[in-house]
Amino acid sequence: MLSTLGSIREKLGSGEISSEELVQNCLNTIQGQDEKIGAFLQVHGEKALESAREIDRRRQQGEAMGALAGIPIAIKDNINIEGFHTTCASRMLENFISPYDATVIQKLKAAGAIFLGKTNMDEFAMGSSTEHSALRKTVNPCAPSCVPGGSSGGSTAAVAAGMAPLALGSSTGGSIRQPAAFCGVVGLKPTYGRVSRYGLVAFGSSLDQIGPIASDVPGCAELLQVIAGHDPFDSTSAPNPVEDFSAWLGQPLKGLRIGLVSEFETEGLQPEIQAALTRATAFLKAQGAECVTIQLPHTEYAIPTYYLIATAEASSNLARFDGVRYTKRAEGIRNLQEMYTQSRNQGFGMEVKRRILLGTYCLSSGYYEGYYLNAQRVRTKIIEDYQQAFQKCDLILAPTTPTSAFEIGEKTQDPVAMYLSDIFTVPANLAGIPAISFPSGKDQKNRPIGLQLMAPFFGEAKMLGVADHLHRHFAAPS
Amino acid sequence: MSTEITRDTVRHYAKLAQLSFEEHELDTFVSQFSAILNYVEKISELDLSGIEATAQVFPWDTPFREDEIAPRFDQDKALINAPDAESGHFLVPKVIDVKG
Repeated sequence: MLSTLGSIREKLGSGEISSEELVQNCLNTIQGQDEKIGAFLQVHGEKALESAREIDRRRQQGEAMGALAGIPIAIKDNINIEGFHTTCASRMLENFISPYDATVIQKLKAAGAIFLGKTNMDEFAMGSSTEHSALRKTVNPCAPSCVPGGSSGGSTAAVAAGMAPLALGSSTGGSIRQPAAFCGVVGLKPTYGRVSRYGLVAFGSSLDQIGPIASDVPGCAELLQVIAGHDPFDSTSAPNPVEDFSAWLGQPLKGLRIGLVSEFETEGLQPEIQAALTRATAFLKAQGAECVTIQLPHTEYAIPTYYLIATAEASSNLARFDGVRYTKRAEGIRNLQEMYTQSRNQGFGMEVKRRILLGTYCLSSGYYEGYYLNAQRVRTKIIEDYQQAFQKCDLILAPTTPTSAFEIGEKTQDPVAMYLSDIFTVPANLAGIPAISFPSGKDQKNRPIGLQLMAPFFGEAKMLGVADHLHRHFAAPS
Repeated sequence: MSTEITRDTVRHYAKLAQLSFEEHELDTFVSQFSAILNYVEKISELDLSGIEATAQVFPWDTPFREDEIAPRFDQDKALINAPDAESGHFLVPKVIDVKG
């Protein structure tokens, strides 16, 4: 049974445990387990203990404490913490030291959170299994022969293994929810713009969001509360006030309209996941919610649209990694041109090269309109699908993934098969809406199952409230 | 819409993206790239005439601010990750070949 943020904070507040002991416990778990699991790329043990002692001292002196004072957190390695490495799990950035804090890191520091270290991921967040990390292999703590999912697989594995009570991930097409589902933890992708992207290494700028990962829904709500808000350093960060994300926790479900997507009832949906969905629906109805069938007619175009838009944006964003300013430079080069090509060739792994190539292709003369521009037009249709759906319901309930965690190596040779594991998560990123995955039982092989809720723009609070009910229902002995 | 993907196509787009591939990588790349393109081609089934393109879901206009100098970090800090630097500048190899 994993500790929740609420229970940890209670123990800290009552003096039952100090922050130093809490951090030391996490470090001990990491030391004992991470050789096998591989969640972390770096552990900032000394610095974490030092920060924890400082928090303990301030607490003893009766100083006002931040919302996450003394709470350890793991950070995905594409988010900058000043003075530490940010590798994006790439050879390209193996030696890169962050010269500044991401805005979310500044906010976490102000709230008193303690950084345990940086977690593994697919290189530059491009992947769905963390197998594309150039630096380390991560296994699923709940199913050791399986992948943890990705790209935030290190963060979800760290929380699932009890190495950190909280973590940050990032999502471009499902990189928080999919690994959360595979590892049996809660993961939330906020509304696009709700959380600042300043200091997050960019992949697909119109899709990327940083989001919270925790063992329960209230923990996710509180972590989101700390990291959300407008940031002058991110012109796409939302200027509207941040709501109270815990406001709907414990509220009755009576009268809520929950949409079930008819297009998601596809072949290839694992029977146990369908059963979890049926169980969730029955629970919601028993609580007085109304379940309605809704249509998202462009669902089958979401993955192709996503791969055109995300790779186009990536090919542009990753042009900056050229061996000039902050990346490894190839040795033995004779001129500037060779420096670019060789540095990029040696620095990027195969999946990153595949995506840069696809992005370059679909942005190139002759193909721009047919691929990139048309993908943006399909994106409009997908957004309209959701707008129409939310006329009929408050929230949408769906599986997070078509299957539970797959075996290590199962999909690495077939990029399209790997891409399809994101089929239910990608649409929310394209539409910019918030979505949360929460544990919903296990399959016959004892692998975790995740269901997700999606909400209209800035509908996080209500979504968190309903997700908490469902998560508790599945966690309770049946 | 797509053309047949050959080793030359991959070489051409790799060059545009400042990438290059080993000969033994090219065949895998050609087949995987063809499979991916074949898959994304699906969007051409749709009639998209008159549909506005969405570049950004952000519902607000791009905010503007006064162009005021607000230092974030100094030159030394900006250069901490530079593979090569001199006198406060990034140093790159000569554009023309270095002989011998």
